[in-house]
Amino acid sequence: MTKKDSKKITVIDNPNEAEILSSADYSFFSMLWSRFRRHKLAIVGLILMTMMIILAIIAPLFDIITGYPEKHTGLDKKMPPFSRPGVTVNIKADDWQNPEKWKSEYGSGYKFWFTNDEDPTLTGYGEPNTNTLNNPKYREYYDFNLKPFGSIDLLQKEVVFDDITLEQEDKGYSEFFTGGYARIKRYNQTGEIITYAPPFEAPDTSLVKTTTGETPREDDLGPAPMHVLGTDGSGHDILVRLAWGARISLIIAISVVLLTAFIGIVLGALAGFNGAFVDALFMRVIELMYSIPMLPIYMVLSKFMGGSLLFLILIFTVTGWTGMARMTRNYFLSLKKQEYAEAARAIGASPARIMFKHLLPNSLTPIIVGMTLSIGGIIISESSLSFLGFGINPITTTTWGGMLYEANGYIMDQPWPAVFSGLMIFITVLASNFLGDGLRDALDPRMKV
Amino acid sequence: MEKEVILDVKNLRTYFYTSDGVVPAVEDVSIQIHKGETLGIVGESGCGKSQTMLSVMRLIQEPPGKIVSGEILFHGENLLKIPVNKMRRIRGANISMIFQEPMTSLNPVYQVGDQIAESLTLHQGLRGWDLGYRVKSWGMFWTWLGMLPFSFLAPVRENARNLKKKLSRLKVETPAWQRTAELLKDVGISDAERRLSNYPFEMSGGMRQRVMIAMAMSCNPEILIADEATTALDVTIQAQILELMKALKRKYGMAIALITHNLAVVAEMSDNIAVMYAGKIVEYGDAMSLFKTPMHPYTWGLLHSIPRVDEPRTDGKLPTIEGMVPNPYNLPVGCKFHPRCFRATQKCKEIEPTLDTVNGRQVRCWNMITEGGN
Amino acid sequence: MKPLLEVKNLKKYFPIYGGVFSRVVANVKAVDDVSFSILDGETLSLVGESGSGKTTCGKSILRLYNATSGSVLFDGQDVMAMQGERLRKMRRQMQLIFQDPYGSLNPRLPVGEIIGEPLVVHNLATAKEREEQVMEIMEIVGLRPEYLHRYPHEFSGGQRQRIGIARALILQPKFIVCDEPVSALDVSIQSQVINLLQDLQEKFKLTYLFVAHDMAVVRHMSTRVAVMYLGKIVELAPGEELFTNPMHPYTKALLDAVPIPDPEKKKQRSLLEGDIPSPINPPRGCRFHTRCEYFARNKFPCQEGNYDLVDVGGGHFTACPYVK
Repeated sequence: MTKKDSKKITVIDNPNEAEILSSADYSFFSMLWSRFRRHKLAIVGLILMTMMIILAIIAPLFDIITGYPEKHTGLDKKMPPFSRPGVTVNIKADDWQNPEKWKSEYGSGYKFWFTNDEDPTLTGYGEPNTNTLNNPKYREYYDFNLKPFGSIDLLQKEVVFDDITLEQEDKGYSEFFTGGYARIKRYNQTGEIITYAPPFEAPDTSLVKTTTGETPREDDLGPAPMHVLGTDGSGHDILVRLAWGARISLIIAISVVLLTAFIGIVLGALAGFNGAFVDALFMRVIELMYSIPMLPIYMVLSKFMGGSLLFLILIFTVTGWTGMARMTRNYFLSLKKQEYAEAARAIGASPARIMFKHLLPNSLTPIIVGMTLSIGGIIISESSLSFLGFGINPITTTTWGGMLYEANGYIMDQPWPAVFSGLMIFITVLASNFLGDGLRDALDPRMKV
Repeated sequence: MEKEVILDVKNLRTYFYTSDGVVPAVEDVSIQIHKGETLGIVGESGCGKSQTMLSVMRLIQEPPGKIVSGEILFHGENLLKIPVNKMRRIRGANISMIFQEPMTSLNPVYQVGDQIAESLTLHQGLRGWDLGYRVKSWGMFWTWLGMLPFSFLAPVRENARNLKKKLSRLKVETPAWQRTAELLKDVGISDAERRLSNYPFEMSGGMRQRVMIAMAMSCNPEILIADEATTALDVTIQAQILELMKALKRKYGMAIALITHNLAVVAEMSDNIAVMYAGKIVEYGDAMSLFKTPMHPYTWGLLHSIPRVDEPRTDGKLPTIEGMVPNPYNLPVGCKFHPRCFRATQKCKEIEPTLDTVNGRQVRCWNMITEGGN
Repeated sequence: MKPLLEVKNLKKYFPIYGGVFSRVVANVKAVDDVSFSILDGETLSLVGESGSGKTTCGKSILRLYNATSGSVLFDGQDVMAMQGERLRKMRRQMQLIFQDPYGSLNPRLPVGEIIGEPLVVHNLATAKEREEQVMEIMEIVGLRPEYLHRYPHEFSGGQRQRIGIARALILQPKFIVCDEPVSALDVSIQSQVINLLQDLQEKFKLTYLFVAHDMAVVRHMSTRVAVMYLGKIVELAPGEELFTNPMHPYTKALLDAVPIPDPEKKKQRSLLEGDIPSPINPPRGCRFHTRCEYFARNKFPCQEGNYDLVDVGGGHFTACPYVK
């Protein structure tokens, strides 16, 4: 049609019609957003989910923020929230005599500061040794709370010593037990503490020695960072572990969701669109998959695979694509009959074009909702598996479920590791559910003006 | 001969409060229905014709809709002021309504007889399939079952057979179902007794609409509101239903409020016609003269723009009304029709016309078409 | 003059599966041996009620359904036999305007893309050319070209129908099947769209197969009319002739049933009894005999035999040999 031939038909439409349509330039996303906004819970879900994602991304920063790395063999095991590392030892009088008992009861690696009131130069650090333990002077039962820092006053208040005469060891250290160790600022490869600082202001840092013979720096001396959420059974800071756990959980969730969506949508679309034989075949495959107990098989195999992350993702994908596929197939079966699909055929569009350009965008609603909701499901599944001990290797990788697994043993005495990791799972799943619900309401029912 | 006014709607206003704004669905509507007459309410989609009658029945969804002001006098009593349970008694008994889609207006999981009988038991106290009958049927069933082991004895067999027959007829013999069968015959469904136990999906569209009419007629209402009742039907079935409505009207002296967008249907059926546009009545008068001399430009435009099956084809184009029905969220200032009106003046663009009475016709127009006009 | 479209013995049955092995137990005989032809530039209307098969017929001609048997010759070539690329090329000549302005447009695409899609599918224009052509056609059908980025839900019913018309026209087809294009529209808009369709026909020399059930619209639009009942054509006549001189009892009953928008012409009707029979098991012989008053009165042998169209002169064909 060239411009020459088109003798124009008068524009029959009302000139006022511009007002009618000008109310908003509705695109799909702006409508979606305005409807989504109305659901308070959905916004909450969105915010929580975003926070989780940010948490996962900045997990390495948490090491720096809290001062504790993800994994370090700390001595401060099972400490409550808001505590600082230290060692609490109840030393019974009898055990002084028995160094072996000491070691087996309380473990090794406890080091103490020694100082002499009369002669502050005689200050040092070391392990209780045979000499100390055999000292008949310590016949009474003392509770030593070897806390890191506080002021000296406090410390002195806690330590109840009456007249104790200290015998000097041949090294010149007095055996006056005070304070624990303090700010752990530097670690070596295996996470061992190499810097120590006295629990009190040392008159002279040169007096302070470390086990490796270094002189600590000025800024190494200071209060130990607080374990905001406490520590778990291995002494790792829980907050840091939660952050790293978020990473793993979200990686699993997002990758499984994307993979199942991709496989499921493509297969479901083909089945739903082609119908008849292809569809029947597809349904049989789905039924087959449902009848195979995937998860128990996974549980068995995972031990052989050594709890690898990729294997977990693989199994979840293999078990999970059926859901997405079935949903897509159902939607396509009904959408296929819509008039615009017929119109596309009438124009001469190829089946692939109809499927992906026409039907798929219109079936996004349940797909998006399904994907969001399944994030929660996947996190729960993974956590459950880890909790049962079949998940990812908890030693190498931190996951929330792994933390639960580990915390389960002492949940009655020290519930906080379990509580916090459980809480994280709960919040994330809740957020994904809210988000999914909000999206479902925002996308459906279709607006029909 | 001025017949008695049984329904008098005065200045009815029904608004819908949505998140996108307020929609004045029914704006200052006043209509009267006389005893035994048919009032046709004509208009296009969104003009408020259905909402007017739904307001009369107080079937407006309270949020987002609300009957803001006005009076609906049924035999002098204001329906908007009576308590809800009294309204419920009026609904279905004195004023009943049938809808466009008989497919969805009937509950698919209940037999047709049950649905009609429900109205009878509620309003007329006829005995339906109640507890007494259920207990009786149970008793009969177990008795029959108990007879089975002895069916080698001839007399027992005979009794069992009779009992079974009685059991299957039991439902049909309840007073409510008997009356229902009469109603179905009245609406022209043959083999009524068998049809009672049909489910809606077993019936065709025309038959379902007849069932709807039977349901609506069951309590001899004074007013039957038909909301686009024949729009979804084939034209031959539509003719049957229209004739049926005319026959019922003659037989029972019932008034009909016929809501439709089809001018031909309204021409055939109505005594009086109200034309609505954007929630307001723009023309209201008796059918004969309205069709002969339409005064409002909208009515005039509609009548001239529809193609005719009874007149030879013209070679030119059809006269049209320009433009489209206005957006209810953004109604024009002044006369709501002025953007499309070929007789619009400056006054029309600024001031809303009032409903004036001229020669027995109510017209809402500053520049109405009088005899000898354009 | 050689007709543009020739339909010969078109049949379209929809199988009903049943039984344990999903065998075909019955067929819905939607279109049962229909033949007609359309000349270049004319409008043939296919009229009937639900179950008559008119829509199925129209869509079968366009190969939206694959006909069970029969042939459709478009410009001498058999459309039924075409496959693949040839069929796609043929589609450029034959287009469809849908009945439902709401369902026939993909709600997720802006209207510019909807209208321009045929060009994309057939690879006929670059993106820029497409936009130009789309805007041009939008103006021709009476839409503002600036609105091509808007979505269908922002338009009214009448405007959406125009979008559908624009989409059908953009490939410059010769033949358009209009499937009840105005029945879903408001009364005041119907006349606009009817005029538009006639204007376009004049301008672009289009040929229409107009499928409808509204007799008034049909009378206004048609050159010739074919009346269908239960899958068969019962009468075929030039436009005015059908209305002034209907011969088949069904046509007479149909015209009788149509209400007239004139209260003075109130009708005394002879009503058609009963409902339309099911197309799965149509009555034997003449399909209409079960409801035909002439059969009821005169006991013609309508239950036996085959009733095809008979030429009664002047381009008028009827399937009933007993009634004139």
